[in-house]
Amino acid sequence: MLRTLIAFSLLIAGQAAVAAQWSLGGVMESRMQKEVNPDYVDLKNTGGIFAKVRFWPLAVVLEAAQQERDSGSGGLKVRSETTSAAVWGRYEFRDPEKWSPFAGLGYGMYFDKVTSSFAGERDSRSGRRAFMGVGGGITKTVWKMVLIELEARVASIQQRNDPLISALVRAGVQF
Amino acid sequence: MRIFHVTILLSLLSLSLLTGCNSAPEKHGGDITYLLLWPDDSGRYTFQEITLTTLNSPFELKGEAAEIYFESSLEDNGFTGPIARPHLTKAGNVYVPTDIESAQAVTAYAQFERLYKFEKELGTASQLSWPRRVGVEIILNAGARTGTHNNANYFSKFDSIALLPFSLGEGVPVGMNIGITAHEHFHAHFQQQVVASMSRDLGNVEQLEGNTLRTAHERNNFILRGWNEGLADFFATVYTGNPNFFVDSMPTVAPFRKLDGPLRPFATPEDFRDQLSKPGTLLNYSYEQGTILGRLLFTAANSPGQDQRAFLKTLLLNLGTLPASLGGTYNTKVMTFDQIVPLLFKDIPLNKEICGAIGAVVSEDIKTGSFSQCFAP
Repeated sequence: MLRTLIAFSLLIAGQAAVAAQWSLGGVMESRMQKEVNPDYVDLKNTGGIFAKVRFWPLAVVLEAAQQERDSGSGGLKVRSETTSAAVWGRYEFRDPEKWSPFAGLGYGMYFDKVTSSFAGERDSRSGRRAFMGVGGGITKTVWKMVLIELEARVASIQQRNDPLISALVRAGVQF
Repeated sequence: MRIFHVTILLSLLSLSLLTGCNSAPEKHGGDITYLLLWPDDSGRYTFQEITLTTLNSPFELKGEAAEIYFESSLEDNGFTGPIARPHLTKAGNVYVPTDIESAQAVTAYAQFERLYKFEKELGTASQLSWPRRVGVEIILNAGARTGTHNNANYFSKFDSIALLPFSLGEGVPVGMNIGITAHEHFHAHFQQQVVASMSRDLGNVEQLEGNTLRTAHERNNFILRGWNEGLADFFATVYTGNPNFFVDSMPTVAPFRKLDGPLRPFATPEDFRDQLSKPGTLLNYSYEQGTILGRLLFTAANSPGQDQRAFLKTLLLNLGTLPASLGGTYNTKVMTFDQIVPLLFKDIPLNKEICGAIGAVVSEDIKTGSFSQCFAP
């Protein structure tokens, strides 16, 4: 079933790619995620890159980003580096020459590397967390080559009880 | 053309749902393994995979052994807010905390699960209510208590433990030191078995630092506090197998608190009266007297023919007899620091080493009055 769907999607996407519009650019994501005390919410800004292919009214966005955090108490230090990669499919409701609302679904993966150190000893572990989410926003192409988008998302992440809520600003060149 | 677009959208939707169906948080009980900073058999703190069995979910620190709160405030009913939810990633079958806050919170739960199992094996778990309530990185109001960092506190009012933030150099954070946590945990036993059944309130730290111990009742509270500290150090030493557990977090305090140090006599009533006239010294004085008791117990528990755990079990089960022995003149006559020794050793078979240790710390009156088999005239 899954293979049939993938094959069918690729076939349709191949046909649509002929008339596709491509965009490349940067994305700034503000993530609101609950802290260890879930009463508190932590806001983190992360920069990333994206590539978008649009065969209006549909579009696919590929994103990648990197996030790092150092924390410690006494001699114990924890450094976490997370690289994320995701694919988002979306439906754009209006002609993108105007401000157009869109809705989408996405799936991706966080690739974590956690290095813990204490008194000269280091322990480095790598893990993965899948996520999937829904999003909605507005998109516009100005001067036929500059893409601007605003988006809000909610994602469910493996190894987390609470959803990740984020807001994104995307800007790029369309060609 | 529109029908193709709809088909593509549906395909993407299906793909997302099918491939993302395992992205919801996993919920399970049973064995859960975390990577934690934990002492090895030699007492050295290293990164180890620690398996816990009493949590319902790796993502919420609540189980049979404890409820963990993080950076919560303390109000009339204890810690406020929800249970701590650590940030984790999964490497193989091991959950790895991705930040220090999560590492501290998970370690706190792990410590109380080990204490719970230790007490169940010892047969003393029923003296307390479980799950224990524990706050991690608790910010106390500096005006209410001294020592808002590098410490841990047992709050008898809430029957809860607060592990405070750590700011002393490169050691093991206080809240991750299994000995210090066990020490604090013991205070719940003393509270339940002794203080509460005597309907006492041991007062607060300000009273000690202000040297306002004027009445027999207040001075006896101070003596109880010293015993409480010494017994807590002994409990933690047996639990960890390390008589110098402070050294990993508080190296300047450790030489004065380690239980394998030399024995010396308890303060006499005259010493105590002199000390009361020295401002700002009483807090340390209570710990000093506690250490004398702790060292006596440690020496006795390590003497030939003794088993440390059995010795500790006897002490814990006998704690409840203290109030009846002390209560009669509590408000009218100041006790002596060594008065507890005959009460604690009443069910302990005495040997040469124990007699020697007792002789090194108690007064002549206690020696001849309560340990005649050791000190026959």
